[in-house]
Amino acid sequence: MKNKEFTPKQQENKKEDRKALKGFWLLMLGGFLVGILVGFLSVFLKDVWSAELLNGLTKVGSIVGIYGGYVVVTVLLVISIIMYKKSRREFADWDGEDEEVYNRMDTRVSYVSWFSQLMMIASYLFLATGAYVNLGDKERTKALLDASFSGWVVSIILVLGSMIYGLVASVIMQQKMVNFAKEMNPEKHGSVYDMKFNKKWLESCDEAEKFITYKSSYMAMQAGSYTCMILWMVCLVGMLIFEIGILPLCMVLIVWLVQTSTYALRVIYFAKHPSEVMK
Amino acid sequence: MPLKNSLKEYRAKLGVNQQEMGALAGVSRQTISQIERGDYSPSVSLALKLAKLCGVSVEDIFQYEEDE
Repeated sequence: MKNKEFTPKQQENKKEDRKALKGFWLLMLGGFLVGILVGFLSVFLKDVWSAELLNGLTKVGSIVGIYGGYVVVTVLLVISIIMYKKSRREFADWDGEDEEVYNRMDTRVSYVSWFSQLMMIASYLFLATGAYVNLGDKERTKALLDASFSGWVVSIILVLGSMIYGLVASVIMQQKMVNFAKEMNPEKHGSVYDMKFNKKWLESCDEAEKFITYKSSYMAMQAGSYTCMILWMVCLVGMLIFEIGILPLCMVLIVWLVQTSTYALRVIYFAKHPSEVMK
Repeated sequence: MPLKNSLKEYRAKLGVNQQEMGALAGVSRQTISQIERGDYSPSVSLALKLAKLCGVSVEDIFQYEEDE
């Protein structure tokens, strides 16, 4: 039987695969061994860890859930306001061409935009923590109500208040920075209160700015994939040791699936409609 | 991408600042600045637009040099 002859590209592919395969199998073996270890430990540590750790976390959560949101949001807000005011002062004296000054202002705008997103995420996190501690468990809720009904009501109000505080702070900071960015770059359009803000903002970006957005988005997508993989492992351990159920694991997989599928389908679409890429 | 350019000189001849050049070319001031510093290589359409604004050919503004 005649041996199949490989094309030069196929030979190059085989060479590249052989080179990378060793590291790949080592990684797979390492993951397999860690998985077995975690599986065994989960059986032995289940009774020891789960009850004690959960009790400890609940005690911390009852304080953090109420006050954590106020602390985190306030810290981020203060830093954001300082950066915003600094940029405003520099912008007032800017000659319109000094690149160092522009880069400093632009960097602060990016950081404050990031912090305002963190404020929003923090407010969701602490609402969930507070809700879990005060409402998540029937027995615990009954115990809290029996201890002090008014105390329980105050806790709920404080938790809700921290979420509203975080969301309002986030939106106001975003609005301030977006409007400031539009003053720095007059060609930009869009209001943060507009549901189509992201679309309008991107449309007003030029080719260089779009490249930054696209490259950053790709890196965010990759980071998201790695995070989903790690979270899947954490949820698996949580399911085995702390009996958190399969729902958290499914949620992580749904996010991973949506992210991966959106990327793949967009690649297929843009391959068929290349003129859409530069729009 | 190894792309030398003389955009700053031609912009000076036009008598416009970066903001004005950006507005004429339909890009941001920052993009004009990045092109002038060699930090960004424009697309073909943007390069042609800039050349037309300066009243010269693309090759007069942008020169491709191979890496050694």
